[in-house]
Amino acid sequence: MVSKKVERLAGNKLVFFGALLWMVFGFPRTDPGARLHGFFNPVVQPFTPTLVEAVDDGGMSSTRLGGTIVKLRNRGCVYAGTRWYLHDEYDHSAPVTSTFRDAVGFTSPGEVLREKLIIGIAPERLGWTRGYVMHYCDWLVFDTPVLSPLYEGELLE
Amino acid sequence: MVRIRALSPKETNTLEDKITHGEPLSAVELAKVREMLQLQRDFEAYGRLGRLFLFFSAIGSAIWVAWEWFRGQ
Repeated sequence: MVSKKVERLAGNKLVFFGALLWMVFGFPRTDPGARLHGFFNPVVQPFTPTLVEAVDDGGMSSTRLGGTIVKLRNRGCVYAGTRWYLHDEYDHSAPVTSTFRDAVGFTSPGEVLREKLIIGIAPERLGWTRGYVMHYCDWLVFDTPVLSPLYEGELLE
Repeated sequence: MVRIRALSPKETNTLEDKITHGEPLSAVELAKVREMLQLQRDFEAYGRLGRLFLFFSAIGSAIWVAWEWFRGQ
């Protein structure tokens, strides 16, 4: 079992309240916290693009994605952009530019058709990418970031 | 088994008075006291478990955040 020392440390008032504050107000605001939140309680469902085409975005070889995104909840959640990452076989990752060129507004839960999701990478490398949508959702007195998985390339494990 | 939740405030006071004044307790009263003590022990054990769980969650999540931060540098 756990040693008496650890038990005493965990029972220390300062440590206890410090841990409580961190778990309620600190960790949910960090990046891993946002990913964990998005994994267990996502705002949008992962989507499979029905439209994938190469486009030239300001001289940069890019990909335009389109498809139906299912928004699961809305209350208290504000859209805050997308995040896209290019991965390699060793699980290194690098950010890739990504943006919705559709008019983004307040949308109700349900299906939303998006046709202009521009990813700053050529279509043949899209299979190595992962995409997320960022929202800020109400959490007690603060807003907490939620990073919902949106796309997973077919070449990733 | 005597059910502790069935103890009224009056019964509790009577028990407390008897114990304070060193008066002998009946078998039923003794069983009630024993169950109360057991309940308290359980309560403390759950509290200890909860504090340990919170402690390790906090340490684990802090290590995760630090690891991600170093990886991103």
